[in-house]
Amino acid sequence: MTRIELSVAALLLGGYALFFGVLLGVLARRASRMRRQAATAEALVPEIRDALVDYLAGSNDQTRIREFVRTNRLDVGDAVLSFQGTVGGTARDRLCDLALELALVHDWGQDTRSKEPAVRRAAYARLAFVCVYEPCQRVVGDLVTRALEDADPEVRLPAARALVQSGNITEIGRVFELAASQNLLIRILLTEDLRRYAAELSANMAPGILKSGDPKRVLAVLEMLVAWERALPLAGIHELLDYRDHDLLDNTDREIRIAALRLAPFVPLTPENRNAILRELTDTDSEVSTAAALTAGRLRLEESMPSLARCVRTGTAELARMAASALAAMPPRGWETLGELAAGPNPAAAFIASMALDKAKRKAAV
Amino acid sequence: MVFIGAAVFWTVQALAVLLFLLGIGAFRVLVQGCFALRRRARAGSPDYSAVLLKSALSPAVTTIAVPPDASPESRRFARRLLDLEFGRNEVVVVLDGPSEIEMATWRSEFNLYQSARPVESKLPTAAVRGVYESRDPIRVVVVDKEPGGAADAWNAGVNVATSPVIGLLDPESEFEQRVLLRMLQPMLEAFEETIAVCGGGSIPAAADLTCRWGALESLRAWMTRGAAFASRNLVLPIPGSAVLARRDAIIASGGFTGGALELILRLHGLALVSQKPYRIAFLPAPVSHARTPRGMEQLRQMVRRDQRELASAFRNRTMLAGPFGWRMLQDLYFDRAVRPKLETAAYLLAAGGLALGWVDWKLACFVLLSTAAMGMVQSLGAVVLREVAQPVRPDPAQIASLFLAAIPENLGYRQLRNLWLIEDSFASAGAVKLNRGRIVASHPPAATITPTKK
Repeated sequence: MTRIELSVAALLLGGYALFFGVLLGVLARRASRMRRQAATAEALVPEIRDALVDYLAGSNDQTRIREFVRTNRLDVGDAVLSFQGTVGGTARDRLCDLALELALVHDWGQDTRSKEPAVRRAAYARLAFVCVYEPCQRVVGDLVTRALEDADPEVRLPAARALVQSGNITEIGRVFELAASQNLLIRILLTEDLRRYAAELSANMAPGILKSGDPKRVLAVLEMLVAWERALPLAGIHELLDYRDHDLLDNTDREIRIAALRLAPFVPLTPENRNAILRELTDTDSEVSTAAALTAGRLRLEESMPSLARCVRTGTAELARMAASALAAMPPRGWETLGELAAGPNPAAAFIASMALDKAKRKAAV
Repeated sequence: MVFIGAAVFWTVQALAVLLFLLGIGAFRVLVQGCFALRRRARAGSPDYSAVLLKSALSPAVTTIAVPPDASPESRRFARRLLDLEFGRNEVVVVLDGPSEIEMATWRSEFNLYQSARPVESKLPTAAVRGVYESRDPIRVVVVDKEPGGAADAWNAGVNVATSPVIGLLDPESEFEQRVLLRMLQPMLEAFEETIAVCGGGSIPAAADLTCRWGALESLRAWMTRGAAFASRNLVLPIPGSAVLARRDAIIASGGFTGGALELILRLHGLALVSQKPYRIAFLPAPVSHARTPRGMEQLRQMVRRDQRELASAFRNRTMLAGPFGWRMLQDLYFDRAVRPKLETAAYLLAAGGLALGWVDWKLACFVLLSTAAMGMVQSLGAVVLREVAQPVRPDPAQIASLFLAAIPENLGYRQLRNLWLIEDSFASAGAVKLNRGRIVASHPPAATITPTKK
């Protein structure tokens, strides 16, 4: 019995040992190959970059670049992409033209059909870079447009970025709509890319989505608009400031009102918006009224002072603090109100008011 | 006498078979971890830290520190948290019953003033004496509270935090400055579903043999508790790993009862019982790792700390995760609680039996194969399988040094470690150094939500 067990165990462990030995040998070979490749790339990539810099500086001699393409095609592709974010205008067009001429764009187009997700994603990321150049857009065709519906979000993202690069406002609007329905990571990344089209999108695309009635998308668009932190030509925000949908179980309507209040300082202050902000200051939900207090302070709405003073006296600690900060942002009347509150009978309100007043005076002195 | 001899023989044989099967089970988990890492590496995930750093859409993070005193090391840790690269990182330092001198040290360290900042009481804690903010342009909040224990202090930190995400970093770990940015990315991929992210790497190997044993220990834990468990969405933090958790999830789970391990167990338990889709993600990147142990004493400390946390989690598994506690911890229970005891018993019986002639050399060899040789297989397997799964410019010398360290690890250190594990299984998880030496029992939150199966 013991002999059998011993034999089985020894056989099994011997098998493991052999397997690991072979695997270790394979790994060692792979490691040395990778190190060799890395060493070659380390030596070569600066040379490729130098050749590309010469070309971008105006030299029309492509002999060295073509030689590199013949011997190290992948490294040239990487080197071209490494200029992303560092070149623009005609230099970028020249680089894209070179990628097209060397058939690198065709290679990347082929790679989009790869079964390896990493290869596909890299290919779309590269195409996104060159899609700013119109001849490259023609070669790429509707490859990136179709990729917007890809199952892989890491493919949808570069495809969307490629369309943003194209500069076509219709396509950019499509990307804006797509961003509103994607996960938060993609939304963040696309929001940054779409920032430079903020004015056009908020004038043309945003109103449609804000009136769509889909609370999740409405909230996503409001958050994107707030994230741009720019003055936006957007009308009709008061409807969202008053947004109430009792059928929603997950508090999305409340989130929408808070997001709309955060957006209010960036859009034109119409009488409707002003009234809506004043109304929200008296909302029973303390988070909504806190957001309203913050907005009132930013917009320096003097007519909100009685409500803000009431918030300092009777609101939750956070609301009182925010309302006191808002009053502190409106000297001299706001400061006078804070002084009265600081001398008042309510100790909590007096403490918060005096702290806010002190801070505002210190800031003003600085 | 003959009867005793036969009983010893069969007991040793049964133990050896059982240990062999446990070894195969542990190896299976390692292979599972390798496949999970491989899948992840093949899918690839670009690092978007630069965009996340700038975006106003990135959720704010509050990192909580509970320093045991006002020593330079504690203050340095708080400063390290403030130096983290992140757009909206707020550091909450909770002082659990500090003395006047300690409070004065913290006041002068951060140029503090008493703040009117409100403290929510979503989690029950000992009374908060005061909240302080800095006059300097740094986002730090210092909470002075009555002593209540480490878990109580963590809960006070969660109450004070205003961010939707809470960051927990181990003071005894090495973490990179971009840790929050890197950790946030997996959370943003599915923000509604992801309630926490555990991230980090294993300890890098060094020249010293004890360092390499520490590295092997950490590597096995990383591949099982991290990678393998992540493939079943049951990831648990390993020593030195960083944790990001949603504040609302922490509050819904009733808050801290111990360290990060217990918190994650609690979050798993609550999410499983609610039967909603959820995810606790694993980031297998070297954003944070435990400090490399220098010498046997530090290695002992490392093993002790981990084993005590695990022992506490085993003991409180029903309170932490209801009927799901066993499901989450069973693999670890067999590896860390059952195996060391069985193995030590097998060694003792085999040695005694061999001396008295009750056990033959073949059976003794079988015991050795089931324990030491199986241990070598696991350590060698962990090294090789990690390299198979994550081929990132490997260093052959480092692989070889770890590979070879697995041999002495299992011929001497393993047996000693078994004794440590047995000792620490019975010891309490109480932190000796916390509360300036005053031992204060960590009480479970009053609003404990013990998940029960529907």
